Amino acid sequence: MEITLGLALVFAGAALASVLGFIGSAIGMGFAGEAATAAVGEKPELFGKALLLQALPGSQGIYGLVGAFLILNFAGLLGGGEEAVLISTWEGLQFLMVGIPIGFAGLVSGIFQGRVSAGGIATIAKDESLTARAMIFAAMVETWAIFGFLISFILLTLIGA
Amino acid sequence: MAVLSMQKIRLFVDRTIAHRLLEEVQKLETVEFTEVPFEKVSTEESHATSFEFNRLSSRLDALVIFLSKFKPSTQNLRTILEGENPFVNESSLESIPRTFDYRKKIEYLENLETSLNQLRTKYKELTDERALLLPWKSLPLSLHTSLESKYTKTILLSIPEEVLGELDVLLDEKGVTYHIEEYPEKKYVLTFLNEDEASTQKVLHSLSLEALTLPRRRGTPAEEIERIDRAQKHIEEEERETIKKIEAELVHLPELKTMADITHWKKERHTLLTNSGNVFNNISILEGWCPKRNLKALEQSVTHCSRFSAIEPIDPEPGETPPVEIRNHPTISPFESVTRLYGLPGKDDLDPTIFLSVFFFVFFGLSLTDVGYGILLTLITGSLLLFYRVKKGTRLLIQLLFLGGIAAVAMGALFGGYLGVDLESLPQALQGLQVFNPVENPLPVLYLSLILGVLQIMFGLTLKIVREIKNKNTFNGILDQLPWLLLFVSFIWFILEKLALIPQTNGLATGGILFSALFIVLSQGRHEKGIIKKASKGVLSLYDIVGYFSDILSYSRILALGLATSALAFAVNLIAFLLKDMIPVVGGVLMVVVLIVGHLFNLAINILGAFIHSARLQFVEFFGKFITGSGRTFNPFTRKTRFIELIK
Repeated sequence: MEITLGLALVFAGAALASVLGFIGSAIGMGFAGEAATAAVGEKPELFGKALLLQALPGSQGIYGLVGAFLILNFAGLLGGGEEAVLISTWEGLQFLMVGIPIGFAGLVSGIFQGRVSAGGIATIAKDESLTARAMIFAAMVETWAIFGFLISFILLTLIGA
Repeated sequence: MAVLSMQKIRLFVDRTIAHRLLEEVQKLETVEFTEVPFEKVSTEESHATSFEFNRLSSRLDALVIFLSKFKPSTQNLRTILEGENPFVNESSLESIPRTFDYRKKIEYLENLETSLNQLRTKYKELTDERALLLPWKSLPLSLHTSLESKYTKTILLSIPEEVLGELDVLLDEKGVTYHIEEYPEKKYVLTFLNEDEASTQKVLHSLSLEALTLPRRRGTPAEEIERIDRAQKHIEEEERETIKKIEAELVHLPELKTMADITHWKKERHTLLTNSGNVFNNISILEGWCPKRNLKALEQSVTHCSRFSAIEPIDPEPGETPPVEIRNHPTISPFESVTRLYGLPGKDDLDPTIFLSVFFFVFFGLSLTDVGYGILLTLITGSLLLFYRVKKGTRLLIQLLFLGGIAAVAMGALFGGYLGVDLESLPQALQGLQVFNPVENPLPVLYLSLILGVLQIMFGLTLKIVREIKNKNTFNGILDQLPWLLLFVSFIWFILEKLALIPQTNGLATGGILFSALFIVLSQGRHEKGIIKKASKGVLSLYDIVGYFSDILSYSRILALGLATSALAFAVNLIAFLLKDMIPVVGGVLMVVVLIVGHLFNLAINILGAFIHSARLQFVEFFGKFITGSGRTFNPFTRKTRFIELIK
């Protein structure tokens, strides 16, 4: 495999897509986890439901992971082909751009979804029957991560088109 | 099929058979009682019986809770789905109060509980005493020996290290003659002359030291510690015996639980009766709400009980709103869990369940779009429903997921999703089923999602018209929604024309758009006062286009969720096969592990996502168009089960 600037840019795109999502999810799940430990300390029976709410801000990381895989796959770097992959600098720059919507949308929405989840955990500590509604509130924030993923994907299919 | 229409009723109850009659009402589960505007029945006699019922009920409740603590806890799938309560049918409900001597059982178990508590208290007291004595174990005095002699006084002290030196200094300063002996844990014995008592006390006081008192017992601390140990061993044995006796009673737990619930129901009937109106001799008056469709059944069972009882429909009090309940065909009822999640609609609204069911079904399927995951979900939920007596709320949810699994199979076949496996390596027959290829060409799927969105929003607007017609507000209903519907239709027409899918009409579509926009401007400001306000409100309402636009775009999440499922499935396969290629020998095993764990994980998070986001599209984008109020859930007078599950 010849190392070109284009190839390095593809790597940067995949790295950007994944690591920003990971950071967003890590911070978000951290917020929610703090609330969950406090709630479960008072009411251990809430463990399952609190865990579910804590898991919600994890999807940004998963979208990032999937995004990175798709970028590498569309660039022809996965799948174990032996033939050299030639990626021009401009093409590489396109792959880098692909990482931006999914990465930044994941970063910010992950953090704020975590905050809403943390609030939701405080809600279910007061009234367990509100679990589903608390989840819907958190899912509202996830909309923007989903749209980020969507735009990144559409950009990806347009590369070389 | 809809929101049940409610009738306020008044119930005349013959008090001599009141309990039997109210039991029937409890079984029917169809009346929610309200306060009666009459003088209450309450008498001294009824208060006395209330007290008796309350006492018996709380004794039974306490015993059930006490006895349940001795039940070995079993946490498995069955107890999670079915709960740990016994299943009781009507005939056992009849027979248990007659055959099970619960009063004797209550006495017996309460005695056991008391003696167990006494044993535990005694044990705790002994433990405390032992802890007090332990530091003094080597004190060679029996505990009842007087610590005062003719010339001296002796006290026991606990002295912190930093104070010890100070004590010496201060006592010396005051010229006290004393002697200190050290014991473990910073315990000391201080002996001083009687004549120095005052100054010694002063010194001790200044250092905040206080004389300790030991339990008054016969022997030396060492002997007494031994005695306590023996006594505790004895208590432990008695405790074990008592627990054994209690555990032997666990076989009666189901009967006790049944009795506890039966007594609770009785108590509730009694409370209801004491709060009923006292108008005629021996006749009580109750008021409440009953769904109209159940009135006949209620009347039959009431008059069947006694010819001195009857029901009569009455008008609600001014400002009183009826409670809301919805009822749907069994195939649709799983979707009620989506409606209930949002909260029931207002009394004048339509029940959205049947309308959202098709959309939810399709959206859920599109968000999973995988035949493999669909089959897995169907199999898992199907076997749960088949082999377990799942509680009602959970059962509806599992049924919903079962239907969702079927949807995912159908959509998966259309989209060529098979656990992330490349369709080209699959049989020809399956390839023939594929209509969309979201990975290579996602735009058609995006359009499909948006078209579904447009359809649902237009449907929501139409439902609003239906709702207004139902509430005899046809004029406003049509004027509010119709211009927007026309605008939607004109836009669709315009787009179809642009795509050359329908014959050209030379600007008729554009005309339609302009006409609808004008219609909107003219109609939406009609409630305002004055021509200027009317006009400005009308023009401003055009801004709602932005709202509709973002509503429609919101449906693009359907594409993204479906893509995420297949992309993650693909990634799982990729990692698994890379492992197999990279690591010799164990690589194959690792591959299988990664495949199983990875796909189950993907299934779980995508079911969660598909459910939440399909529900959100209903709540935010769809309900907002035609549901305006929220209803108070109908809460009928029933036999509330707390410790048992009724088999009906």
